[in-house]
Amino acid sequence: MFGDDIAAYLPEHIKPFAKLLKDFPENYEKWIYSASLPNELYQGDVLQTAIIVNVDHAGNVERAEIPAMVISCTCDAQPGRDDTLLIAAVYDFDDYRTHHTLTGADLDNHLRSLQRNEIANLFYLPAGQNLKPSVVDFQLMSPISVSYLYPDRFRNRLTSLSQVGHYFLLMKLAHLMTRPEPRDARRLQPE
Amino acid sequence: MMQTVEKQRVTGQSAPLWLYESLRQPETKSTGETVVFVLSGYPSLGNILDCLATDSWDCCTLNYYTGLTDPEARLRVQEPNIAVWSQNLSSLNMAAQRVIPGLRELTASEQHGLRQYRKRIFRKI
Repeated sequence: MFGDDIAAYLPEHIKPFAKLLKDFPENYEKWIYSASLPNELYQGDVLQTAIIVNVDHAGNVERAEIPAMVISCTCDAQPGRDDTLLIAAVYDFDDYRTHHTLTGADLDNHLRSLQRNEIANLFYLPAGQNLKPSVVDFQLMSPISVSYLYPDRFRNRLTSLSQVGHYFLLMKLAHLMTRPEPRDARRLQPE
Repeated sequence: MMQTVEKQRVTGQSAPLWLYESLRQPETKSTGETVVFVLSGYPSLGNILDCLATDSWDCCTLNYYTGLTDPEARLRVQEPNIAVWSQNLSSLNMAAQRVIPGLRELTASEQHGLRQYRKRIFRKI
């Protein structure tokens, strides 16, 4: 209906950034981050260290104390709102590249797709502020107590997203979480 | 005038959302008394009235009503309906597919590599 005019899909406060989005991935590293860290915890902020918990294939609980991105909405990340918020694991890009099982052209293609943010389950973050190039793993989201992060631990952040950077994150989350099923997708009925 | 400034709710948001949440509080909705909102630490806000006049709110629309009998009810919050939420999600998806034309899922080999990498990062408890 709107052709290639991206601005037609953007809310008013993002329309001024339409060209930046249209030119993506060019200059991505220049607009994804805010110039400074906000005083409070925002959706998309990357914590320097948080605890991610997972249940593996054998039912064992495993954990990692690594950087993590706030996935919950900003209003839910404030004290006095929800008990927990969702965070996603963040990996160092160089470490990820070094230890990936893919090799050669397959690895190159994977990393190229990753850096263009073409992979729905992963979110590439270029170097910025205090953050090295990183990969956010949307498949590994974990709840964490808001009380654990407040009053001080949440301040230990590596970066925060800009207005248009936050919209870019929402685009990927919306695609991953809320994309419509095809019309012929049917759930199996119990016999 | 004596004035008590309580801990503000949902700061860290856009000014409109902050005001929206404040207006929704039960004590704000009680009738009769003047309510004072104190917004601080928002350098890009400029004039709050300019902010209120924009149509760029994601969460709600704040409408000025004139000609009402109750002068305290001039400012009212209108929450978005489900059609607005649905449109927002649809627009996000449409924008995503245009900004990132090659958007796709992980392939089996990529998923395997990610799984193996996680084993390096995570430790059993």
